[in-house]
Amino acid sequence: MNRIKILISLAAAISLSPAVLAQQKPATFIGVEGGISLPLGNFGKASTATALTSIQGTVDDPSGYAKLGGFGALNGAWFFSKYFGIGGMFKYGTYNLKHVDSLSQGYQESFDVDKTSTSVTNYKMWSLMPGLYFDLPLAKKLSLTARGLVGISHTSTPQITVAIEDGGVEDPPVVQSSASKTAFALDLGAGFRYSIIRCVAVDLRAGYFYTKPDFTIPNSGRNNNAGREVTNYDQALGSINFSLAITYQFSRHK
Amino acid sequence: MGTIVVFSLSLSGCSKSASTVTPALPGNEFLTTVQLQLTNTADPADLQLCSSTQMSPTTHTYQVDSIYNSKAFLRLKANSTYTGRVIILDETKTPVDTVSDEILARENYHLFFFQPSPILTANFVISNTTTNIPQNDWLTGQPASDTTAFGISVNEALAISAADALNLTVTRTDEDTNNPPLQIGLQGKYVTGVASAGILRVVLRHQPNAKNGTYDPGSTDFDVTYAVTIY
Repeated sequence: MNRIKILISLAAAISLSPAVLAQQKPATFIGVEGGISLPLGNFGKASTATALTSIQGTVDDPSGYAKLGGFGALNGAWFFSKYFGIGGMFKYGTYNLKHVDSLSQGYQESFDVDKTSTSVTNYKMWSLMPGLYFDLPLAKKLSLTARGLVGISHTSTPQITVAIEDGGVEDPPVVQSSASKTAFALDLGAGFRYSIIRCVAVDLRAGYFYTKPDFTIPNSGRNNNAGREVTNYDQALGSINFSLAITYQFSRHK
Repeated sequence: MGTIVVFSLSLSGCSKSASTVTPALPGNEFLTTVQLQLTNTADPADLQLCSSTQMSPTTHTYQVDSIYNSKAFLRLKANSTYTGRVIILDETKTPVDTVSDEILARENYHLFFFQPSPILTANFVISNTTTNIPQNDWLTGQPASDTTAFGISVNEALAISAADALNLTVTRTDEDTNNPPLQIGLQGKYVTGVASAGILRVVLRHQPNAKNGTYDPGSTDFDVTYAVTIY
């Protein structure tokens, strides 16, 4: 409770200080950003081959196998006050899969076969999120920025295809097909903006992204109950993101 | 050589080769010996055990290119019902490893086939619940010298008449945990008719993600033939 009081007092002090009161509204801007995305929780975990081995009955798997991903975004805001604005972001990103060898070996041991070859596609995710933007000038060309966005995110899971070969015979492949789902999404971030010239600035930002689609995963070619089989994936797809943006700033208004 | 091909326990299904994606798994077992243990339901003292092995009886070592059939012989009473089980051993291990326990654990993709021969055409039914081996995979055209240890030809054939047929039917009595369940064949019912003679070929198919009750999918883990006399 004390912390909240301190934060409120600090915000009030900043907003009422003469230096800040003298500032003009931040410029409306539009920018292009790109960055990296570090998946969190089960989304970024990989199970071991031993954990994926099931010779009698199938085994569920909460791991998402997402590697460090990349994304690009369009981002813009209009400021209705000296500190706050409204805006939005459209973001598209992908995550490749890691530890595919564990997946492959899990199937190999589950089916007791000579060889499994596993091929995968990647996660694809786009988001459309309006929200609130904050801009606090720290110096003539430098400001602290923050944003809180909520919206929707559409995610497609990877397709995982496992070719099975034993005794010189190719057996039916195991296919976990891609699933897609749109779900609520949240993006919270903060960073710094530095104006290079009057109308162009660069933004360096760190943020947290969250969505939790409840996927129903289609599987095909599953003839026998053994090995990893994921039919439902209801894990948070959270990430820590770091981005660099080039921003065009429209003329400022008093 | 033909004899070796016919009788050798095929190890291809359970031995591992290297792969760039999934390296060979160490420590896989051999299938050195396959036994059938049959018990007469009307007379538990009538216990029949036959064995086909690749373990040399003299050196007691595994011989990859040899088969020893001195005990590969079943003597069954006519018009009787036997309960039977298949026992698979790895006798290279100490103590001997009962591989059939591992097969049972991996029941969802293993399936046994039992082919009595000669068999009457009327009794030769291929379905996902019968134990017969499709004719295109029968042992035929083997030289006369390719016989079991008891002088019975290993060649499989349709019986010309009822008098020529081996009067033995085998049905599987165990099921796996697939959905729907499929038969396995580690446990079975062996029913004899009138006195006759022939062979019983037993094949274990390894059908990873392919088991559907039929013979064709997958590969063969072992393929053995026993001589059978019904008296």
